[in-house]
Amino acid sequence: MTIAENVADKIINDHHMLIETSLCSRFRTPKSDCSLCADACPANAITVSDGGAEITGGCIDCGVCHSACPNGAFSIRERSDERIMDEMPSPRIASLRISCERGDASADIIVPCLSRLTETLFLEPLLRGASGIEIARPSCEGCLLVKAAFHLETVIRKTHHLYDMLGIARDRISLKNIPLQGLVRAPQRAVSRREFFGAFRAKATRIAAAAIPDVEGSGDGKAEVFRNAIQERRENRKRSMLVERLRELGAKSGVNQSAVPSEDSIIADIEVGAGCTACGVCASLCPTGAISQKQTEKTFSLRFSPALCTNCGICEKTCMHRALTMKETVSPALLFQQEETTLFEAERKTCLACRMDFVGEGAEICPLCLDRNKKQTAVLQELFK
Amino acid sequence: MPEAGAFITEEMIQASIAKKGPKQYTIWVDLEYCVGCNACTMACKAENNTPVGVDYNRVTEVEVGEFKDPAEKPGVRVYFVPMPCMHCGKPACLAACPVGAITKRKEDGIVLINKDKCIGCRYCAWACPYGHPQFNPEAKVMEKCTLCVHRVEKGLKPACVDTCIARTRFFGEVNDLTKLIREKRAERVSLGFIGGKTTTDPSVLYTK
Repeated sequence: MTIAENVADKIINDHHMLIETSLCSRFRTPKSDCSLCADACPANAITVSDGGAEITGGCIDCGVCHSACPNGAFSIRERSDERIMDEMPSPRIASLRISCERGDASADIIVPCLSRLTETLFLEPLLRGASGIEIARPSCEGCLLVKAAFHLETVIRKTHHLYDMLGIARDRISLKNIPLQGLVRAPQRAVSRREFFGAFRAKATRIAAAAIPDVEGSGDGKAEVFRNAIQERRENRKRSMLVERLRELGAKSGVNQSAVPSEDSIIADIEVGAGCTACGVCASLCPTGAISQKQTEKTFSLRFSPALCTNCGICEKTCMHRALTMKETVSPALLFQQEETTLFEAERKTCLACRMDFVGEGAEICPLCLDRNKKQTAVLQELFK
Repeated sequence: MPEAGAFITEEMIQASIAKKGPKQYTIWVDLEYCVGCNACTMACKAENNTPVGVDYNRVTEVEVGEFKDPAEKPGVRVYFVPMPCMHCGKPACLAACPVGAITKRKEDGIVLINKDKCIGCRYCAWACPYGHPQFNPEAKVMEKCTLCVHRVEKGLKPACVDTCIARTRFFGEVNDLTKLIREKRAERVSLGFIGGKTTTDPSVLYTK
């Protein structure tokens, strides 16, 4: 595209969703089949491929993708979770009423779609003293965003498990069915004409500046080498905010250790068996760095921070040696664990043949080199039968 | 010993390979005349600047047959078998790579490792039935024979083929070479089966 087309494209298609690609499971490995964002997007604006998730057109800034992505890869520039929480009145004794843009216009909080809600948004009102959260939900069938409707149930189910852990009664969330209304706008303060045009001018300038290539040529235009890109760990802000609230609520009420099925859990519980060869693939590919590898002169170890884990499953899927497994049930209380667990630790040696580090007791040659020998023998036997 | 074969399912291989393109370039080695001089190994090393310990082409000595009555025709023979990358039709390395760093080119079937993507985990080496991909300890990525793709694209032959002193390595399109083998009535030996099981459809042809 020419510069002019680039600028025009960005003005017309500008949307407020930002994707942190290094957090996206699909970007990190083609073995991931995650499509949670695309499945939930009511505007079908997201395409997922081996390059990760991309917004490819028609985004309406509803923010459901932000709620759907467990890794927090999507963030919303303007109406983030923090902004919505700012809108919550506090202190408050009665319940907080939340509805969508086609629901109850008099609700305390209005979001574009109820599936925009996150577990954090179901915890914050309780911290602010609300007796409960009332969701005024119109019948989704007649709404253009109906594709996203299923996701609210998922969020509530996961929130229930978090409530159970904190000893909070599930009925503090109530769902009230109301008729489907015409479109209402989220409550906003009125803007003057000067403010409006000023904002538009600033936006256009920002977009134009971003679209014009760097004239000083400091960028070489090459996409960052994948191997380096995956080593930078970006913060999963969604998870950080959730853990903050969990810790505050947990400090008051104590924490129940019961386990839930892993499909309903926002974290995984992982174990690593003796088949581990210290390849480090799980740690390299983990989107949030929940699994990390540590090497000293003598040892190799894998460590696990449950609070960072998003249950994406990449570690289990990519482990060729089938040494890493995710347990079938998980105790959400692991979210409170501050220290790292050691999943695997073994003596580290260097192979005399290929100079690779490997784990093994007493051996001088790594399993891979031994294996190569066996393979070549097998091949030659076949050749000259 | 971890079983890489259990991890690579047929579905994975089918799902991950490109559809067979118009051509498959490959190498035909007539083992009858290979003397084990390793000139091919050296030429490859010089062409690709590989570090110590990494050889895209490895020559193995194999003793075949039994020593019988010396008055009869000798029953023992030594073969030298040079083995580069087989540029398989169903590459196990491609299916095993956890980051999709290995691709098979549609236009000529050459299997390549993208060094910018490679994380050096060695899964390709585990998966390869011929043990071919090797770790480059300096660059910290996996490397393998590229069929001298940089030469092939310019219309040249791979360095190992040009250098062979016995003129027993041939480069070409796999169907053309197969026809040539049949015409010469050379005896095909196949690497397509290992231990009685079908493997990854290797493209490199051997005769003896």
